[in-house]
Amino acid sequence: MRFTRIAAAAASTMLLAACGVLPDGPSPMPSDWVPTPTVSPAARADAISPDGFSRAQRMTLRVRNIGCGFIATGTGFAYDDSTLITNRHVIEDSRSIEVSTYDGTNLTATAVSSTTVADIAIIRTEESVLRSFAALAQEDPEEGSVITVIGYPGGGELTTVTGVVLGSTADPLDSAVGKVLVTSAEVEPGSSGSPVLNESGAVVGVVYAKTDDGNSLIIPVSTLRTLLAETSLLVPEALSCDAPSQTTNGTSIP
Amino acid sequence: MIDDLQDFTPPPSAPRRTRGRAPWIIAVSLLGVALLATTTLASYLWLVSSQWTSQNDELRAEATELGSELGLAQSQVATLEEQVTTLDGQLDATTERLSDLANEEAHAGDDVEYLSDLIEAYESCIANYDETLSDALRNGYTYSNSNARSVQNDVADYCDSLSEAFDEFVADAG
Repeated sequence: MRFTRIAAAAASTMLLAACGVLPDGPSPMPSDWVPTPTVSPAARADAISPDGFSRAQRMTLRVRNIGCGFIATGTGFAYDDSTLITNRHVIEDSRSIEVSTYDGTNLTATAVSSTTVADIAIIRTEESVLRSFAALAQEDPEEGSVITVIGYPGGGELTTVTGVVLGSTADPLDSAVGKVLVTSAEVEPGSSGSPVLNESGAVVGVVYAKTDDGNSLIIPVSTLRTLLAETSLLVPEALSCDAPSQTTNGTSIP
Repeated sequence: MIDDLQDFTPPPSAPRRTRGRAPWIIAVSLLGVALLATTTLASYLWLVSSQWTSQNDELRAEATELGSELGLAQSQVATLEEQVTTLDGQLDATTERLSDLANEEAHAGDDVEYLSDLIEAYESCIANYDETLSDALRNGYTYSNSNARSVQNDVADYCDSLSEAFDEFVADAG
């Protein structure tokens, strides 16, 4: 009798233990699971060009200075939909400024202002057709940084060259207050006013001259930021052969 | 006889028979329980097995369908990649052509402005000649031969410089 009870207890225990290790049935299949795409074109929308040109190319403009007895060309870049930045010497002694985009769209400047603090000028266009604008870097590039210059050397095709920042120096042309940067990027007449971009595509300077040994001189973005913040430093230029090259009683362009 | 009856003791087989049946009952009961448990277990395992089999079939069918969809998608991707490569090439050619055209247009604009300047200067040159000639005819008495020549030379030099500028422009234009 005792054996029977023990056997029954053992059998019950084994049965319960066996129930514990029995396999479960499958859980129901999910019916509303949507996999997350690993690559979404929409997420890369900023990286997709609408027409095969990069943002930097679209924001870079060719500037034609129809002067008093001369025609000169330079480069500029869009700061907003109707404002662009170039060099003062690009727009000097001008009676009319014409701007053309990478795709041949022509714009006419309605106002021009410049400063004596640096070789920088601001051009305003009548039409707000500029669609790609420059993003200004927060800090000047450090020595050894890789930079890219986009411009219209010799008034020719839109060209991209790269180089590195070699260091800073006092402006050898005395056209700017403070330090300017020397880079190894090769520039030509017509490249003046070209945006200098860092590896992120942000503007870190503006080309304004080249040295005898083939290096380029750029106005650092810190100077540009100061000028854009301090609008009183910018003075309107009169687009006329009769007027003096710079007036002091006009409205400053922001 | 009575003594015999009193001495009679029942045979021991009856209680022995009761004790002998109990293990059988227990054994049969245990076997019954075991059979029931085994049947239940087998039924449960059959049910679970059929559920897994059913889901496995479902998953296999789904996997097969997904596999064929994947194959189709991969083939479409390959086709699209080919198209993208072709379009990339066409886009490159188009952007290059657009840059060329923009460049040509810009140069044409430069030339137009330059020629406009030159025409204005020629007009001024003709007007100067005209003015000088008229002045000389009106006030001939004020002109000596030498200063008339001087004025004429000045105007001629200016006009010659314009002609040189035009010749230079034509030579540059090729």
